[in-house]
Amino acid sequence: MSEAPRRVGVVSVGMMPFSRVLPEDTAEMVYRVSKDALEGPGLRPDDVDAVVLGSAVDPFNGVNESDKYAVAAATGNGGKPVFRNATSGSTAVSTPSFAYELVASGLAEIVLCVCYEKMSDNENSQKVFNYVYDPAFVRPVGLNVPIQCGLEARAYLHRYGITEEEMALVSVKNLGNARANPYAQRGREITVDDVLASQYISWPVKVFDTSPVSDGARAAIFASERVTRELDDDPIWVRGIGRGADSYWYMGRRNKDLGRLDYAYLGAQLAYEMAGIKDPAKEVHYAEPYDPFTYKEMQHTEALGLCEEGGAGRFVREGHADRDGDLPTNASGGLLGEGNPIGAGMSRFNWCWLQIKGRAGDCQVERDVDTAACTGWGGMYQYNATVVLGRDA
Amino acid sequence: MPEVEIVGAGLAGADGGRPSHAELLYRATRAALDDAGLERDSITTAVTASYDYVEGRPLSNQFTLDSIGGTMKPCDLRVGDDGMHAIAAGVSAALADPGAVVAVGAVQLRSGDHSEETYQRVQELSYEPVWQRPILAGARNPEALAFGMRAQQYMALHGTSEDDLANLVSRRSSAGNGSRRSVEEILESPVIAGPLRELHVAPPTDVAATVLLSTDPPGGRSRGTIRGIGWSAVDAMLPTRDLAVDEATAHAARDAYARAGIEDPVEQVDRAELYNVYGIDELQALEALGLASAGGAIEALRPDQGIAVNPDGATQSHGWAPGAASIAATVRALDELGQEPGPSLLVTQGWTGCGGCSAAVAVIETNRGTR
Repeated sequence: MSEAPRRVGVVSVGMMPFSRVLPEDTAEMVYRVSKDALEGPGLRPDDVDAVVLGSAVDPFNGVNESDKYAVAAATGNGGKPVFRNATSGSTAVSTPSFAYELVASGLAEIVLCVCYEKMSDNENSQKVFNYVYDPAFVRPVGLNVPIQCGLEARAYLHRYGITEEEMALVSVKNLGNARANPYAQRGREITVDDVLASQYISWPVKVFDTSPVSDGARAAIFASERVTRELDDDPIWVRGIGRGADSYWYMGRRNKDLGRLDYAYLGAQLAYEMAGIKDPAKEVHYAEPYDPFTYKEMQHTEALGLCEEGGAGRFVREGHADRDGDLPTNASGGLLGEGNPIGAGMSRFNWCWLQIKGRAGDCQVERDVDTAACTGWGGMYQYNATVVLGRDA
Repeated sequence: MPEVEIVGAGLAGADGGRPSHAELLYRATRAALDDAGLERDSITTAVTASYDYVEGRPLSNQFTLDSIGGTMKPCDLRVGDDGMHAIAAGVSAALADPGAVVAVGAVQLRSGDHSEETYQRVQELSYEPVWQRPILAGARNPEALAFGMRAQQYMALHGTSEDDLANLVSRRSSAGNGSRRSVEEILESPVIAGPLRELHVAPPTDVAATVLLSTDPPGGRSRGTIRGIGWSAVDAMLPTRDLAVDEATAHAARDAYARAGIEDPVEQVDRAELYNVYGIDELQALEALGLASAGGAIEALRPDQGIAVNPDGATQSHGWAPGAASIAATVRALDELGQEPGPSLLVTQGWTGCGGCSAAVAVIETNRGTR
């Protein structure tokens, strides 16, 4: 029989501000967050055994295999092992799972994981998204992300009796939280009425239910147990990794009701099994559920088991998810408030680490955090990735 | 490194039909499952390799999710690299989850899915947009320009003649199932990126290939043992690179050999499957793998030399399917070596990126009497 997988720690994260348009190009963004991540634990580029890059899709960056131009920016041009992962939005969390595997497998001791997106390099991200769809049956209809989200949100609200006001509460919470986040693009104080009064993009999804278009990057360093303990006397471990993927074809999905994300429940289930978590609502202390749209945070909150299925409206309304709540979510502002450079939605992972370490600055939640969970969501509304970080259980 | 077994391998070609990406990869994966004596439920996770621009659709692996491993599983990971990189990622996944069955596959349709004009435009988009892309805009084969520069530098440095390169490509084109291109035909064909000519370039093809990996093969079946894996990337900007050598393959080979315990590749390796889309890439990869001295590849590749290199012609004979060709070559080699009586040590290599700035190498020991 083979050896058991090795324990994997996360020893630092790399951050930079998000913005609608950043002056940095892709390589410069990758350099900036890589440098930030390396400097934290006092590592040098030569210390890194392998690099995993993540970017949602190439057409956003305007270069075929855009990662090949970011190789040197990550750790220098020394010919290190480099992979590039791309699963659209879930790249944000599936790429860290790639980095985890490289260390858990024993193929590397220290792995630098960098996710980025230069959305301002393309003129029309929704046109890119239109090309995601099947060219024969779906693409000609003109489907894009907001339209599809409208269909999905409608199904979700109908299935569980969630209201547009409850969706709006997520935006009020996250944009408000982002005011404390120095990296955030869209921190502001808004009201439920502001959200409800904003223009419909695709009913019931409105402008303020939607995350902004952004440039940005994030990095993190994964290490073996030996290295993690050498670098950090308060080690944070990857306790659980889970991913779920459903069919591209709506008609081929296990659950044909778009309101329930079976694949997200699967991702969470696999991650919790690995982490030995049986009651996430009690054992998870903080979460960054993927929130490109308000209702997506609600769906992912439920899939993570932080509240009962269909209970996310109540969960938000009663303040459980607030920064001073008993199970705060997206205290960073999430994608809605911090910004959404799609691959760099890996920020969800980074903020979980920062919250556990107590380094979240003004975003730090009031309750103690030893265990945190984040999700990514992507593909053609079919992929989920879940990571659970934490101190020793 | 702990060893990973190839428990099944499958290959599918278009065979004159017009299958979709999903259909072709399904056929390859089904063949791999049959080869392993497994059903699709046995697959734990999957890694695919695909290129959005080449496929003409972002998130290009989402269409093949059902084909490669089935739904409601963690079958989402995709390397935007060559199929050999996907094998490396699959090895990582298998070692990180001992006992899991990891499907690794790639599919490429070159003949009917898009026009060659579109493919040329896609190749242009692989170049850095400010300094490099404007120079090659409108080129007949933009990708070949980088390899043409590699050939220029290598041939000038080592005194390799155009006849030598044409000879190699001609020999490879007639191996396996290939359609022979004579030396004269190659040298009389139009220059596309001097010294490379139109008939130096491997013809396009449609293919899908899948291998199933596990540390603990179900039923104990194994087609081969992956003893070492390496992958590497250097910066894609051409001016930063020494184009006379295949740096990415050299780095990848170093790691793969170290993991496999290979100290003298010339003595220990029995067969090598290398990308040879332009001919020059085979020469440089052979040297990067330590299977020939610097500038000695042409001599080492003369017939009757000890190591079997691309004996069935590789992409020059079977055709060029970006991303999928290296997995397909691995499957073919496993099939052929499985017929031989004793164990063999196989090295497989593939490149990707602008001018081959990224490469991956696997060291595989084939088992005796497995077929």
